[in-house]
Amino acid sequence: MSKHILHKNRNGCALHGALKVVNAINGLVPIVHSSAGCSIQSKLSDNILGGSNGVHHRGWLETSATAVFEKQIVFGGTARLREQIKNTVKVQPADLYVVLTGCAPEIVGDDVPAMVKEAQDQEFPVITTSTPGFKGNVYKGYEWAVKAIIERISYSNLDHKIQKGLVNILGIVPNQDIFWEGNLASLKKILGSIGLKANTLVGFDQTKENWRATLNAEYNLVVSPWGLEAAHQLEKKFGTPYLYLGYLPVGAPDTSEFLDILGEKLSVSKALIESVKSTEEKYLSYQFQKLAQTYITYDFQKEIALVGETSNVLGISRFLHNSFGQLVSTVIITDNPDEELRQQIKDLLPTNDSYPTEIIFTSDGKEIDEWLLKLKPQIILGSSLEQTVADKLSIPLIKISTPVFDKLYLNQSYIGYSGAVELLQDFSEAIFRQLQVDKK
Amino acid sequence: MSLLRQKAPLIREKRLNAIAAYYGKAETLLTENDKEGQFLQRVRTYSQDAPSDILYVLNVIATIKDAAIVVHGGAGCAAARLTFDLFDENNGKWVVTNLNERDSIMGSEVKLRETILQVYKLHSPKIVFIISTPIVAINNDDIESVVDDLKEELGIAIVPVYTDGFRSKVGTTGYDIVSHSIVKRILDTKKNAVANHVNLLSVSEKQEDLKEANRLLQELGLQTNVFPRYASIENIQQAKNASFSIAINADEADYPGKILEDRFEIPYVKSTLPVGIANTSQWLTDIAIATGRKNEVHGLLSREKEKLSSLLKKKDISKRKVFISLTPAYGIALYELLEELGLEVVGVKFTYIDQLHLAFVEKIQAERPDLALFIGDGQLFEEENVIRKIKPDFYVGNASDFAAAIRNGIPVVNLQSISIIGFEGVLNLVGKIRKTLANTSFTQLVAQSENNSYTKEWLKKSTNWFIKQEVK
Repeated sequence: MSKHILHKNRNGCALHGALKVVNAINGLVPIVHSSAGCSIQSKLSDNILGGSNGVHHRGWLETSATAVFEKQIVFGGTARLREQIKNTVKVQPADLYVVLTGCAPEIVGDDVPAMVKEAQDQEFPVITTSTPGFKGNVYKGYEWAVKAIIERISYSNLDHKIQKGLVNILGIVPNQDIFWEGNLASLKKILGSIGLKANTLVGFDQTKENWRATLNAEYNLVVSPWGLEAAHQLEKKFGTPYLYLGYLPVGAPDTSEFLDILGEKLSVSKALIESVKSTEEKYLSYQFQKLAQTYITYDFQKEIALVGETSNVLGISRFLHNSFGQLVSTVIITDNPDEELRQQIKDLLPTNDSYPTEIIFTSDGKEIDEWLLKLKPQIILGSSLEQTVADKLSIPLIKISTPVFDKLYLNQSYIGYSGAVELLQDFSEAIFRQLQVDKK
Repeated sequence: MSLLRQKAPLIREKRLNAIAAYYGKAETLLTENDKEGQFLQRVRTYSQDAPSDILYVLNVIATIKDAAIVVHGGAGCAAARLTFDLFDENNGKWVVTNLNERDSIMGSEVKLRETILQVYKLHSPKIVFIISTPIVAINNDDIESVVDDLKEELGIAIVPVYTDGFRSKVGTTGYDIVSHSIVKRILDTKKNAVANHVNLLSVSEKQEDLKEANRLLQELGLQTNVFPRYASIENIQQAKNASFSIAINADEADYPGKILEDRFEIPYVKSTLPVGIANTSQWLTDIAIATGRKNEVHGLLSREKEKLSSLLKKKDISKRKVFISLTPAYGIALYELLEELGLEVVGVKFTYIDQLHLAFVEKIQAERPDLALFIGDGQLFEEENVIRKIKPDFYVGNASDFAAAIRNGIPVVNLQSISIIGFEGVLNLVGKIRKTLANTSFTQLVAQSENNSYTKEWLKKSTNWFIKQEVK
């Protein structure tokens, strides 16, 4: 985790990451043990315009929270936590309660595990994970919460029987990846097209049962650095093999290659894969043909900068370079992947000898702005925080990462074959809008 | 000077006997304490999260011009800052010190110093606000010496804002902290009174609210200096030169009004919130009397009222049952306005109440002894419990806390999307209510999905089940 101060910080803290996971599973209820306001900060940073508010019938002011006050900071807050756990069980129905800790009780040193143990002894389904903001960012919080939930739910499932074609999807952080719900739906559709079943774990219709099934998956698909920890955990515990793709496949050839790899590992009929690929690729190239006239007329080939988390940025860069003739000049990765993964991330980026790509790892808004101003791309794919620079450079901005201030995302996605078409439409809209602006 | 001596103001609980948890009759609230008129403190043994003073502070500071903001804490303490970037004057001029485990043990003064220097270099602000957070407050990190040091070096206002997230249960305390910090740290003592110049104290108002308030005050011949919301450093310095201070929302302006009066002897004109016909008239009359403009106000009021009554005639919304969930000033004014319009108020929920609202509590005790007063910020589990029992026809609230209403099929009138200040505000509100009730298909659709937010046992229990008197 970065030791540096952060201008225009786009990532919340570990508590927020854990909350985002728990809130995205129907039947799981978080209990926040912290001073007031921590969960509100998280909800306000979710998909800014509120796309997640009220999911699973929990609005953004409905998080069970001890909201500890001065007395509990001075004398300790364990008694308050005990009371809150006991009463949450009476008020909010759930399959599992997850106690998440914030900075204040962690500094004071409240013995949270003891309180949770006490509740477990009363046979309440309660677990805890330590998530103070000073220990990690939003992505780490995702990692820790996923680990704790798997431990609790799947370790106790004694019915360990591999279910043919079941694939766990790991590494998409709900409400941090702005496309999370759409990306999961797309992956489900893509896997479904070759007869595989995606276990998305978070989002629409996902409950404790989906987590119970994690150990029965035939395979784990890891689409970002943040799913690796869980993949290792499941491999060690249940021997489930995993594929670390490290990015989300966009368009062809990546989606096709992705289907080939999955098909081979999971012994899907080659004929089926070929037939899916050829239909989809044919459709995609049909759309490319439709676009060609406009592409040339309005000079769609640009020097491009991307800003966002590893999974989307890598996937989209690869597509733009490999299929859309774009020159990826700048890639800024904002999710702080561990040092040892960074070379691999660089290797996954497309390379072009005459147009080298600058790759930067930072989530500091000041640094990001400075790089963009220095490298002067002709279009930016990033967050609303890059708007100022885009305006300065008079170039279009397409939103691919959090935060976004001017759109509510429900089910959009740029991945797979159909996602690529979606991206091309938004790309053209951004360019035409800029032409209108330039005219004025 | 006495109020300003401390680094932060007294919390609302201590200064005004504010309470943030109650459900029950007005009578109990008024009589249960041996000390007359003093409310008893209660706590919730099950509670839901509510905004802390930090969020209230961000809400104001985000609007102050020429300022840069340093959130001094963990990265998460600035997460919500992104939301304010949508609207504010200081787009992008903010930073979080991003304290990590080492900082939480070793202290964070060096990092704070380095941060302020960076912010200064990058944005050349005229003011730097430093917002303190739980980590810094618990560890008692020294902000003051860093500020003293850099103030000299940089020659700009560096204003520590001592929030902590845990001292007060009333988030509005955060609003007091903002005014306290600004008046204590930025205003110098030289005074240069300007006639006809009044401070329009505004803490949480929208631009549209100010537009209507200013329109009416200009009709009275008053020039306003808006403070502290949307203020520039010039507005802030001007605050001490005004001949009067006027509040829009007397709850929120109470503290800036008092400290400006205390320190610069600027009379603070107390009045009602100008929402509704009666209250707006009262507000203008109080201001006119205080500023010697009695003659002007009569003409203004009759002109405005005549215009309004002809516009309102065709818009009857009476005889509906309404639930109000708002901050106290707005809740009370709305209660009066909706009764004025012939609606039946079947429930009231205020984020908190304090000594400034004693008259209203007494009024409820006298006029509606059976109406329960519901006090809480957020706490939607209680709202769901109440709403299911009393089944209002519609709900008036802020954008933040409507979830319980909408999933029970009760149409929501969101006041954040309109201004209800002044005479224009009455029209806006009536228009909005009519519009909301004219097509409720979306609400009905949302209400159709399964609602398993709360246990059946809880929904059957009395609403104040988890609200207990505080054990000292």
